[in-house]
Amino acid sequence: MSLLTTLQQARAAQTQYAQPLSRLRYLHVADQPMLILPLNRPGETARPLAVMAGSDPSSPQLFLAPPGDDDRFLAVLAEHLHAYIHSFQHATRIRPAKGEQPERREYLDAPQLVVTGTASVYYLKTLGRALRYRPIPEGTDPATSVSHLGRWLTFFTERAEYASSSLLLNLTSLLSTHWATGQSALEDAHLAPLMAWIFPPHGRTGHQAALTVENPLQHPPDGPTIDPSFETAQLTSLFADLKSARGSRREHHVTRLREALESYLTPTWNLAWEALSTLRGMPPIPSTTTRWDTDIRRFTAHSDHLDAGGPPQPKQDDAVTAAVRLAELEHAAASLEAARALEDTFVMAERRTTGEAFSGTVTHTEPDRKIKPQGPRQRAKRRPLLTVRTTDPVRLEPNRLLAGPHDPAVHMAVCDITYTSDATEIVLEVRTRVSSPHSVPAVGTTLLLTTAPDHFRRPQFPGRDQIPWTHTGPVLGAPKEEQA
Amino acid sequence: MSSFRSRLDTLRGPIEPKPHNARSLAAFTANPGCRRRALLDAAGVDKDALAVHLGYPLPPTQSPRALSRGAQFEAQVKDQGGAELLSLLRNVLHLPLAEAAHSDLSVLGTSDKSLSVRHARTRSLILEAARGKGPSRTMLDHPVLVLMVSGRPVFLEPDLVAFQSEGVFHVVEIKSFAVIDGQAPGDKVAGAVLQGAAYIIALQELLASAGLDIDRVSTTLLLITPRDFTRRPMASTVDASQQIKSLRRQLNRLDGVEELLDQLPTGITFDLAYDGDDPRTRTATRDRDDLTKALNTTQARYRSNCRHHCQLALFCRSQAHDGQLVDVLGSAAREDLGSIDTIPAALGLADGSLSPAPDQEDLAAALRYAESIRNELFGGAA
Ligand code: SF4
Repeated sequence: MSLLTTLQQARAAQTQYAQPLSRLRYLHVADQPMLILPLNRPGETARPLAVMAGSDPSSPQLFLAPPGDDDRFLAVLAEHLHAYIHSFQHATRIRPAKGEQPERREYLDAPQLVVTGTASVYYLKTLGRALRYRPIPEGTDPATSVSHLGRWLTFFTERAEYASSSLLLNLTSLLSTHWATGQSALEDAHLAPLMAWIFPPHGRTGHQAALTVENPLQHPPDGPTIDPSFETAQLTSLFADLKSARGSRREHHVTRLREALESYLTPTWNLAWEALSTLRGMPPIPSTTTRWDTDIRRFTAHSDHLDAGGPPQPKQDDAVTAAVRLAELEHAAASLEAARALEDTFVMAERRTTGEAFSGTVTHTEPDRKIKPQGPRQRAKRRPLLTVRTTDPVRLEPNRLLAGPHDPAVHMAVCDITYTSDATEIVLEVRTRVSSPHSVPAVGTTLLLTTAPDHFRRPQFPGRDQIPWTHTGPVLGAPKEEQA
Repeated sequence: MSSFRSRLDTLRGPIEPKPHNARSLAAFTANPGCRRRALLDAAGVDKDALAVHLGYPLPPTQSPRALSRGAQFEAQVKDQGGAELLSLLRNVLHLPLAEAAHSDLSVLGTSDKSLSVRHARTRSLILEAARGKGPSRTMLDHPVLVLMVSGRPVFLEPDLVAFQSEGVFHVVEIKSFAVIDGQAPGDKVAGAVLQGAAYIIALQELLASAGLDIDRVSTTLLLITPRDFTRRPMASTVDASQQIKSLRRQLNRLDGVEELLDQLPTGITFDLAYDGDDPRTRTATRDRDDLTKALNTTQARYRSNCRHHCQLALFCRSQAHDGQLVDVLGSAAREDLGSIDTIPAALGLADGSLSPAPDQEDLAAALRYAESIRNELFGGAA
């Protein structure tokens, strides 16, 4: 966290109202996302008792698995989610070949799932794991099977680990990047207290409103774990009734269970849509579209994989896949931050407080500087130089590529840094767009610079067949499992 | 020692100390710097009752159904003299086939009164086995171990079993959270290992008290959990040596509460002044403000994760909020603000209305810089 965010948090605590962190959105919010609120059966692993889902705020669907009736529940849930996903698998466009990429067909848009928080993302991931190896029963359509539901959930939750992906939105974590509250991250992870800080009801401070919604019996918290108070107060007796009842009595108790879970989930349902429309109302930064395009591409690729009858995602990544994945996750996070910095003044400001960005005045330029040819067949290259003087506390190494919001396409490398008693002088060499007249700002201009997004190069990994067998075993998780 | 005990008794008031268990011992390692809790725990004060009386009860966090499912799983694993458990243990310890002696100590009774009887029996069975007089593969079901905590014995009931093989004892923990494809939620595993560490220490103490080598207790915990999405048990091994170390450190530190006691004004008590003896019907009559004053003579150290291990969390949070302590903002802000304790101080240093102490100059400069950038962004008013 940056000191800037911490200060906003402190100010939120003092004023008792949430403070803005950024008013620009960097993830895509779809017109018709599907909100999913899962509730797990207490004491079980990845076994939903109910799921409230839908794309229309005014008509939530409640999928219920009353004790003793799981399979039908899963089939109906799978059908519903697949209908949503399949609705994006019609309209396509052709992407022309570019670089090494051949021409390809791509869907126009992609589905978007929304959950309230990290716990629900993890839950859907575990559920995906539980379902994706289920055999597809003879004579059923794989495309709407429970197994495919598991694979889709796995796909969405894996993409959710990328900071730059919008395929699965996590509301509390997204809202926390836009507002600072006067409470801890642990409390911010719950939708109701977080929304209470951001939009307290009239006459209450954010702090007071957040305390009010902490009573689980009056304000059921979001899932996927069912609140123990609710369990004791209602579920236990409903379960007991169901266990002993048959026929129409059972129907009656199922209806009561449905009503109880509906009233448990409805406040969160409404709050989540409110949160979504708030996020949607924020202006997106330009690169949001590019990130969504990547998501659409991934969606297309996974759809093709399923259509071709490809296997489910493996139980565990092998060492190489795991390393590549980790590097990709880091790459996505770093380049997202860099891209945001160029487009969002708050993120840029935040980087200034951490020394990854600075604002300074151009004190000297050499727009026509050329460097000698490197080889016999090369010509002299144009490499303009400029010197920027700043009083910001910079933390930069030589050779780092920088860019600024004035023209993100112009990349400059740090050549030299000189610290004087009251300022820092940085000599920069322009590396891209060297002949554009704008690439070398005039003396006296104020420049805002930070690490260029392209600075983050994807690391090279050996191919799978180049790895010794000792390194290709499964990745061990905690706890270590012994051969049984 | 007796004056130490009697001072703790005064602190608690005239009711029985709240017995500790592996869970509450494990909680010692969380937030070890809190003196308030160290004193309350050493004296065996019922923190639950305290929080309720102060008007800050912590909502329940344990699901009743999850608890009963856990008990069911344990019963299933131990069914038929632990036959299934034994075969899992054999696999994980790579034992050749051999008979094992299964002793169920619950036949001696499971009430609180039977604890010391069960402990005596546990002790003698373990020592017999250790000295090679009993069968070498010994499975003890429902054993009772003892740990001394601030001079008072704490009875521990591992939900299971101490298992000896080839002269080494193992502690076995049965947990009902699933291990899926070799992975389990980190917090659950961590909790299980900390509890296991308490049992391992108690077992080490038992051997040590009889002059036997504590290395005969394995520091690797055997964890029995459901496999994947089934209810079939599987065994895993987890190294608990780190947790054993940190728990030992905390237990030793609890003995240091004598020093904390010395710092309290004389006569301080957290007695709730119950109007009767029956725990089900009695009510606390202690004046709340008075009680709060007494609690305030002890130094709290609120952290946002207190609610995971201490029943006073909501009370301490509200105090931290009233005191405008940085602690309410969570660990990231806490770290960022270093030695600055209060929110007004942080904001005052940032806007320059407060001048920094000598050791705060760097941080204050960084704060002023961040504040100037904030003003550029939002103007003074946002
Ligand atoms: S809740 Fe209070 S007494 Fe308990 S550990 Fe936290 S600060 Fe200490």
